[in-house]
Amino acid sequence: MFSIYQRGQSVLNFAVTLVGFISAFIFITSLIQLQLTDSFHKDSSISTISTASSVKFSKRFGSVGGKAKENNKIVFDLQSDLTDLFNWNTKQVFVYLTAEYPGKTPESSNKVVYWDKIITSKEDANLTLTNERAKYSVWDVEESFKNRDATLKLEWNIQPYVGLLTYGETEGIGSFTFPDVTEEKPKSQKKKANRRKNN
Amino acid sequence: MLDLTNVRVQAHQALQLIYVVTSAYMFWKFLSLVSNSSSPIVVVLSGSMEPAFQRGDILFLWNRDTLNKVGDVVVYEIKDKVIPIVHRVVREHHSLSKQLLLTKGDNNPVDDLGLYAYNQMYLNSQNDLLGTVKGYFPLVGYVTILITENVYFKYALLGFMGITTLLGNE
Amino acid sequence: MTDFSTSNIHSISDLRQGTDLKIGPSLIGLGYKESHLLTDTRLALGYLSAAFAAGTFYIEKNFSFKDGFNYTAILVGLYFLVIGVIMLHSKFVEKDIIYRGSNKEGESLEIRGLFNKNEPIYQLTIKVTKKDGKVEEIKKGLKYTEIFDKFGNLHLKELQNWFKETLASKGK
Repeated sequence: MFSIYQRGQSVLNFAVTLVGFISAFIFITSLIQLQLTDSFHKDSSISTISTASSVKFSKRFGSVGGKAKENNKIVFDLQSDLTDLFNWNTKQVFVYLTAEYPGKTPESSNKVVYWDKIITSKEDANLTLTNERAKYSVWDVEESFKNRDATLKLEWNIQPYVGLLTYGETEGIGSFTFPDVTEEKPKSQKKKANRRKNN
Repeated sequence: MLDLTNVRVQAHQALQLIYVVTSAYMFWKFLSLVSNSSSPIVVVLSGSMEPAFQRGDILFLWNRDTLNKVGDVVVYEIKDKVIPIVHRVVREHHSLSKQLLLTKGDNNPVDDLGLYAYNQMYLNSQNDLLGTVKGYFPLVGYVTILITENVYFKYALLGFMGITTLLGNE
Repeated sequence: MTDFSTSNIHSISDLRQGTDLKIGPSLIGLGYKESHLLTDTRLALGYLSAAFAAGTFYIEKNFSFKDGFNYTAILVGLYFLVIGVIMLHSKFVEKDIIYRGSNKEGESLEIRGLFNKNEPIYQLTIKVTKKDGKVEEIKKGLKYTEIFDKFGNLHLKELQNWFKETLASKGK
């Protein structure tokens, strides 16, 4: 019994070490693969078709205590081929369209996501979107975006089968200026709220 | 004179057992100090980040980043709620003194506002986070899910550990 | 003598452990008293490390992570320091010493043991230091078959006889 116990322990130790080495090997080769395909500098083109702001009063749209909260949505075109991000250690690629805009002081800054997508296969990784509507209605910490300028970027995160999470962004840059609030009919506002609820 | 030989032998055997427990515990504490996280390794319990993370996967956390980025996957705790949540940062607003984050599960249709405490609109990256997910290893955490959720498995494992320590005195 | 210790006769390491335990008692009959200084030092250091681990656990239960951070850092540091000392102690002070003792005439014994995994012989080095400081070393292999029977029982009498003969052979 003693030797069985000892044998079991050494087998377990060996297995753990082996799994560790294999994991490290898989992760490092996948990083090399990303470097070889220049994946950290992928091209993309992002253009804003339109942008619209409206005022919301529900907590789901960032309003606190029923105070008016400016919400913004955009419509955009996007093209980027992320096929190379798929290698033997890629479980999924999470792509997200971010907008960065300045805060009140020079040291402060904001970044928000308008659209994102989970891509689980190579075949879906060549993105071509036209007149795509933002997935999320975005609000700021302040009540209003105050016509600030925003920079759009397409960023990605590779979720590995094993190893470290890898992040990067594509080269393309889009931009827009937050517009004034457009008067919205109460009717359509209600409709939108309902649709959100149904999700 | 009192013969202490047996006492010494038993004290030595007890010490071997103590070493097993304390070395594992202190190594965990060491990781916790290095990562500045009270829980540097967590097991995924929910499916809200599928297919990236499934139940039973383990995540390695780091809590020394001064600012979190949009796209980071963070583990956060909400006041009075026991189980920490693993979700992705979808908005960040920072000034010199603090950073506010809004999170969302990749697999959830809406953001986490409904999960936060009453009237809480953002997470504070300094106070609310256990850490940012840096590393990933699949499946092995399932053992702890079995231990916490399956009573029979718990006792079977305890029994097995007891027997092996009794049998192997090396 | 009916003092048996049962070991697994198929495990060299088990036989060695069984032998180690009985060297002290067998030498009592030959007038040698064991000095436990090395063992006691190791035990004291071991339980000291356990105390630091217990302290860390106390901090975890009674303080928040942030408030307890510095205490935890100190305790974890002390723990690994003591573990380091224990390792150095066993590597450079204890080495392969399995017995230290002396008799009334002021003669002291130090026994070191080496073992080969696949050989049923315990290679012992016995260093005898006379009262006048004269040192003598005896190297001899102790066959486990001489002291264990087929059931894995160690016969103290046989072990004692082995030491008697070995010590008598010194100076020749």
